[in-house]
Amino acid sequence: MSLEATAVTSGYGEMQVLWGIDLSVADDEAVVLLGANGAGKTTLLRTVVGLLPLRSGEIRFLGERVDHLRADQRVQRGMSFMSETGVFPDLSIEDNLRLGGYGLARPVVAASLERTWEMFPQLRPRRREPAGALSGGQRKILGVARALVREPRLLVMDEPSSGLSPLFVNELVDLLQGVRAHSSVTLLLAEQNVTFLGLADRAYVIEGGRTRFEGTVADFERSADIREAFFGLSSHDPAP
Amino acid sequence: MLFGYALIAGVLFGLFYAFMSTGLNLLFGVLRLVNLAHGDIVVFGAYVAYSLSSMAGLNPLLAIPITIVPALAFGVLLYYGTVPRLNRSQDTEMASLILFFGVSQVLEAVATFAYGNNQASLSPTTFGGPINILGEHVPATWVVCGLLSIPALVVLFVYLYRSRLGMATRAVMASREEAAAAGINTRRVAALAFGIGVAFAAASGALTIFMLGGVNPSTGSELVLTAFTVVVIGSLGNPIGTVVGGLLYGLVFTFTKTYSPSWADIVPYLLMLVVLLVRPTGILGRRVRSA
Ligand SMILES: Nc1ncnc2c1ncn2[C@@H]1O[C@H](COP(=O)(O)OP(=O)(O)O)[C@@H](O)[C@H]1O
Ligand SMILES: [Mg+2]
Repeated sequence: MSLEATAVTSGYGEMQVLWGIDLSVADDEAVVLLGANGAGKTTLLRTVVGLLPLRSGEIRFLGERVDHLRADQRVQRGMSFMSETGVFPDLSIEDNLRLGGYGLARPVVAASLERTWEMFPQLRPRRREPAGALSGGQRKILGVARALVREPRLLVMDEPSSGLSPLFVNELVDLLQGVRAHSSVTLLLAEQNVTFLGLADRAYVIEGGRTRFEGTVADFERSADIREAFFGLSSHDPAP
Repeated sequence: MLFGYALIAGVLFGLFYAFMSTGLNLLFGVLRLVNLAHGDIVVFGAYVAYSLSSMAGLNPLLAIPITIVPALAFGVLLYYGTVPRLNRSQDTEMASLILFFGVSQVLEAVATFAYGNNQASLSPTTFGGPINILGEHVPATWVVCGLLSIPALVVLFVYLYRSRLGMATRAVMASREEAAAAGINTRRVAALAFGIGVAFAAASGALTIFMLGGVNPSTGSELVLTAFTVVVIGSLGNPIGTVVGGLLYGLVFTFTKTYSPSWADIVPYLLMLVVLLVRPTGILGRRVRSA
């Protein structure tokens, strides 16, 4: 099992947001976490990655408890997190990629950078520009490239589609599909956009910090009430 | 020619102000906290230079290498001793202001105890008589101190823009959370930045005693205000901004001092207000971006 979170509760200050969520992601699996704005998706991902303290429950990564580890330690063990912003807008594109490999040996980073330039040739000539100068779509691509520099075992992504036009969403889904075909990265992504179900094996729907649905994508598509509830909530484009 | 003199002095003072202020900005950039004790740390460095020269007969500039390591260690220890605690408090900003104010008062009290309330100064001819620059006779102390600020700033820039830890520092300045998610031990990077900020403050003290003509225990409170102004003019959290802010501050200060001396003490603050009103993020502040 890549990730196994059990009875997770978490929140901010006095406010509890997650009320006992179980979440598991098998090796090489792709799992999509669906939920409306404010459902608690970001909170769950941040807790999994260690950016927010776990209040109770446990989190295992590759079979070992990681809930006592800091975020950077979890990252060094093979988790990679792409936030909704995904990049450091003020830092150069190259610095962003180098930061993706922070803590790795220099030659490894250099080789990884070389691979990235080959995979995303459009980034290379602009590598000294700030990441914030890129368009929204290119920024997401940079975010994915950055998260992949360290060849993570588990890639956690928070709303990669946010702020993207439908055209770019499809491009991003293709890109992730390509990444999955070429490497054995496990994916956990939070989304409001159901397009991402296309690359997922399983889905969760969370609502009000609790699991509302858990099952395969096929189950999800069969489950009329969930679909309706969810599509009802996400019929208009997600807020950027 | 008054203009040439003001220009040369302004640049020299500007470089010095940039060096003297940069530690405050580094600390703010990484921690989003204003170190109210910054000026007192500068004054501490000035007293070390004073003691070396007046008591031991040594070159006062030796204070720079001598203070750097202890100041760095002091900064790192101060960080680990206080900041994690501050972060746990309800109102981090208020708690940190009170804490650093306390540190500032303690340093001031220690300075008063050790050196008394009188002005401590060193001979303006420590580095020789006036130097002729483009026909202007500029005090040697200003030239030496202004020019020495350049390598100090270069060292900081090499650290920030050419080293891995420096890159991590810039990442933490940009977003602490994003940096942690990139695998950076943000606490360690912040502690080091804190130490470097304190070390730079202390190191600039040896120049301060010459540039200001002397220091006393309460000079620290004025210096933190100056440094804050320089940093805000350039833009909070941007190290290059501090150089711009320092130069601008220096030039405005020397030009008003030359042409209308009674305004000299207030015009730099007016400049800060104007900058804040016109460009609230400082001259080199990032544009506010949506998305
Ligand atoms: N930094 C924060 N401080 C306080 N409350 C927050 C913070 N971030 C999110 N919340 C609250 O937590 C709940 C869940 O938010 P979030 O996890 O961001 O939802 P989602 O990512 O599914 O849109 C919301 O009610 C939100 O207002
Ligand atoms: Mg969210």
